[in-house]
Amino acid sequence: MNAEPTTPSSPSAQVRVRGPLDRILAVLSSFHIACVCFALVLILTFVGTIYQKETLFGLYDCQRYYFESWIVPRVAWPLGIPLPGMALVFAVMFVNILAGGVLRIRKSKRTIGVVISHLSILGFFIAGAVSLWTKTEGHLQVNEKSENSIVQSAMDWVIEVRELKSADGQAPQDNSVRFIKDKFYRDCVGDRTRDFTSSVWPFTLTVGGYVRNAQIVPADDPDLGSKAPRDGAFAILALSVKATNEENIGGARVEVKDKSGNRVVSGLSTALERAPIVFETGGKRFSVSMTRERWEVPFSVFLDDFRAEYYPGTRKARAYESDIKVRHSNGNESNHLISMNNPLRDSGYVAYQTSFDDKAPPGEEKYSVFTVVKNRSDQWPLYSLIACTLGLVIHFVYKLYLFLNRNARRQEPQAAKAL
Amino acid sequence: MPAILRLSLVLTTFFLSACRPPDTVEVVDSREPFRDDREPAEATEYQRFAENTTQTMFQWTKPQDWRGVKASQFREINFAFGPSSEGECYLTVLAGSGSGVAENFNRWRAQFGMEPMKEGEVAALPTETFLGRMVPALDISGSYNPGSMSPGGSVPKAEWRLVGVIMEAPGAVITVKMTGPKALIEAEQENLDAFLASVVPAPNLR
Repeated sequence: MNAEPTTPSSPSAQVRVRGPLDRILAVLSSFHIACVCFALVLILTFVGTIYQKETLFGLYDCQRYYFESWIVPRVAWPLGIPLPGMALVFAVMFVNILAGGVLRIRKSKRTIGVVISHLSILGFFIAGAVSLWTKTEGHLQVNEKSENSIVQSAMDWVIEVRELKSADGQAPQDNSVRFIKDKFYRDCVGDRTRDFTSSVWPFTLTVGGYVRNAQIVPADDPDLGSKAPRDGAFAILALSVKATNEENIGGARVEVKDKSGNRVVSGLSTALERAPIVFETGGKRFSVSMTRERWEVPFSVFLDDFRAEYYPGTRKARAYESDIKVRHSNGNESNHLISMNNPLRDSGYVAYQTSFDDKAPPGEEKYSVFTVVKNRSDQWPLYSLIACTLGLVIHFVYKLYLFLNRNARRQEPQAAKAL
Repeated sequence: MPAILRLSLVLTTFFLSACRPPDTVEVVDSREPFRDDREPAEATEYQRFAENTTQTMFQWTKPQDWRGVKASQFREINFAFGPSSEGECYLTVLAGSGSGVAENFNRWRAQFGMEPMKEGEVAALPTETFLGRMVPALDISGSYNPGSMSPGGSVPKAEWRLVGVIMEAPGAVITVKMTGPKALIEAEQENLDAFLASVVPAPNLR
């Protein structure tokens, strides 16, 4: 994989260390780095898999802690041993392969297959990085004989701030709904707070007292600790964090201060609140609420019919499918069947059948749930795989050709002697 | 120091320094409002965290000495008071006719082992102001047996007192019932009056 000069027959054996750039490339393409990275990949995969079962982390946290992080957070260190995250390991591997398998390797017809294979492996890394940073995934729940176009994240909470009509009915100046992702306030627990500002807000929003699995209770509830976030008649009771992250309900305390630093309003906010906090400052009205991260897809899904087949005598579904109509804003409408291995692909989104109203008696299911994914690099691993296969085929065919050629050359003198 | 170790140290320092967001963050994420997004209504604190529909329908002021208690099916706005929370007060909305005023008063009386009221006796009951109307109020004492369905079970409680009002509204019967040891209820009568006077319809959330 790497171009560390090894044996005289190695394609890269003729590479010689010359200037500082070569020295840097020599370090970056080192086999030692590659070996350490492979070992770390093995360790992270093992720990990340085992900890899903043996601790309270669950799938979501293990994914975040081990496979999507640069450094494994302290809470997830196995046996107290610090580890780099998979993102860092893969970033180093990317540089290692790029330096060794693409830049330092001698380019000739002998190595063209190897270079293609290395480039295609870099394609896998790029696809993973694009997916990690840009992929959106959420659930679209549609009731029978109704339609929906709003996808809701199963995992992430946001604090949404929206400008409303003014008290005298004037339309808002800023039509966008601004939102703060939970990665920005996840660490605001206990007394720690963080201020959020925007060029279009005449105020500062302070978020603190974040609780990952929150329940709103009366402020005089005897189960509350002395440090529980409180506001008015209510407080946030921190429940134990569930291993299945979808079951956790986030909550926090928010406070709005005007430009002079005077308190405008404060309150608790959880994802289960029935209405947002509404306030007025700087001559404008706003709402603040915590909600699951939501976005709208450019089409709506109308659920015509949902069908499920169950294993005999059980409530366990064997197969389920939905007849849907996809409606676009230009009036176009098309019929589709979404089943377990037959997703809908439309406008860059892929909608998979993933769940349904499994609490209803068979035949009376009221809604269907689709997982809607937008991933620019969706097909890139496939392209990389094809390129990798092509590179290896070129390399092996070339090697076969050399082998046959060499054998033929060896046999020629023997044949001449025989004559 | 080997080059590989130096490289690891530089990378670790770089990534560790970028771990925590700063104390002030400029909000850059935004989305367009959804196609059918309606503006939210202003809501009271109680409406925002309502445990049930009834809590979204009313505004009220909790007397200072009372403690909010998690709502249950027939205790939709629920309080406790007293040194060991032995006093209870709760508001219930019974959809439909809810058996009517007389039937509910008679059910309460039965919990004290009393006979049902005779015709005309309900009309003769004293009244309290509740939700802007004069509504009949019941005040009875004795041995209280709330029944096996109630919290605390069917153990009779001696020297207990009940004060409550029932209002018949279009499509519903609204009851407020306060029970507890006689002396405690005597002391809490003013709080009950204040609570009844504070209950008003809340702005519609829709």
